[in-house]
Amino acid sequence: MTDKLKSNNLKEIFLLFVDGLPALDHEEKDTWRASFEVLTEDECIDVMNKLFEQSLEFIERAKVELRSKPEARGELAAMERQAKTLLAEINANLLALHLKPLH
Amino acid sequence: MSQHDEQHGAERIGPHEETVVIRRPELKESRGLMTALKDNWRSVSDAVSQRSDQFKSWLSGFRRVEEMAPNTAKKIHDETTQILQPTADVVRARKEVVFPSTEEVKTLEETKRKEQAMKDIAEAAGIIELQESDGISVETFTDSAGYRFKKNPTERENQDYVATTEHGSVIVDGMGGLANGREAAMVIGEEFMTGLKTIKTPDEKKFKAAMQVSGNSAQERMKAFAGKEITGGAMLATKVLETLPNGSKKVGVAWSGDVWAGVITPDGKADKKRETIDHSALNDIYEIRAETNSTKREALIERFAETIANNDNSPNMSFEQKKNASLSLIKNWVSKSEDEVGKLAPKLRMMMTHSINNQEKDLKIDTKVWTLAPGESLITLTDGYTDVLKLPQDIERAIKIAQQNNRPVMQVLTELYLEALNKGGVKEDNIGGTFMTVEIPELSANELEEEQDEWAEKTNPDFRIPTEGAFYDEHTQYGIKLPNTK
Repeated sequence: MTDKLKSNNLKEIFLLFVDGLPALDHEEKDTWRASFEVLTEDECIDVMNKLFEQSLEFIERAKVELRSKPEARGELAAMERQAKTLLAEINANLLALHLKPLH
Repeated sequence: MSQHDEQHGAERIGPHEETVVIRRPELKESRGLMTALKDNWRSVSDAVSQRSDQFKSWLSGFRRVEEMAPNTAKKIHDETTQILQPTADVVRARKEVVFPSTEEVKTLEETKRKEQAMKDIAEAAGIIELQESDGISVETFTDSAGYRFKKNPTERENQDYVATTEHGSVIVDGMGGLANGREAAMVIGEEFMTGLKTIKTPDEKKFKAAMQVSGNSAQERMKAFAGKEITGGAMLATKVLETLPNGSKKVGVAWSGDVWAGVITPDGKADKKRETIDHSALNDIYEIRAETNSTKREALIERFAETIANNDNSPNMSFEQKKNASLSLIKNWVSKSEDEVGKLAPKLRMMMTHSINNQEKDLKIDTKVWTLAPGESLITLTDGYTDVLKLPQDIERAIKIAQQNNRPVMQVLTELYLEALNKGGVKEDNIGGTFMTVEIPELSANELEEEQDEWAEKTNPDFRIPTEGAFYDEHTQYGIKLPNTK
């Protein structure tokens, strides 16, 4: 696979992370989308890792804030399951690109 | 992926009340995918697209939880911003070098620039200030040349400005959009009517038709000149200059919008200049932002302000005053977020003539910057494209008068054009600003009426020709009183 193709694929994953993870507001997402071109592969993975960790952290802390709201438990549990699924899928794609998987 | 998950081909994801079932790929499918990826990169894209749906589902779940747990959401957001800050700094520093090489950055910033450009430039030129006050607080005034102006109190779109002088010339402010342009066209026509005074038996019908034709012609000429409809912040001065042997009239039209017309037009040539200017300005700002050593950073800011002061042509200001006028602005800019700096590009452009002149000599733009007030600058681009004559001298004079009378520079500038029109008529060497003549054809009444109808149909069927005295208020005596043609 050429570097360009590899970069294209990494970019798609990176943009998915930036767009899909909730820890950034709209303007920040614009900035991070545009930042891909100047980041190295490792730095992209690092950003994705941080975003993913923050999203998981959000779920954990939301559990505490919402402990008195049982109706939120189902939502949070579903999100945790989704997180694991997504992580596995993304890592499969990153490995296929010979990139470091997320941890 | 857990062992438990692997044993299930499908899984319920999402809230209970809005159950979304997404088929989760088996691990073997992922493995197959991995193999395929090595030869077929598109498979990765497809796989990622599938994940995109999951991301969206996940995100909508997050949004619901955010609403339920806003405190946590805010804390996480703030923390994330902090955590990513070092990488964000790296991005900014690198962009100094690569900006604007990525199409994505260019598109984003260009859009923002376009949205902001007119507003910022008009604001710097004092036009916004004028529009906020005209028709409300300033109803009559006398300019430095002794011309007395009356303002029409009639409510108009955006409270546009129509004034007539004792000499019968007209100034219009507010050429934005068709409706405003039409107002200007009317005024041109009315001015044309002034010229018709010499005609013994003016035909009102013919006059009204000619008025629209002349207005239409003027609009088209301005559009052709600027490359687009003249919108916002343009001021217009008109004067009938000459009656040609064939009976046609030449109406002189000067408008001060040309000062920035070269900056804002979508014409490729103008855009190229503007973009170049923006990039030069932004690069200087990025250089300062990327400097982490505070002493060096301060020195860069000082040097930047001094460079601007050296290129500032404003009269009656010392070097220190010019420098100080820029210092606080620069400090403010360099502390803004990247996004905000992008929005400030038009203002930066105004301050950055040195970059243009030093780096873009091939563009042959004579650029000058003028400090209208601390923090308020105007840049003028003059070249063959804008066909501007003696512009720097005119602006210098306008600035002096505006400062003395606490009035918007652009307003004064337009009056100067008018003054030149009144004094010098058609001679181009005694007028600054864009000058053009609109030739009013000598057509029969029927021909004019047909042309008028055709134009009205094309533009707005509801268009109404103002009746006599439509711009004139008998009670206040404001406005333009048409000659009695009956």
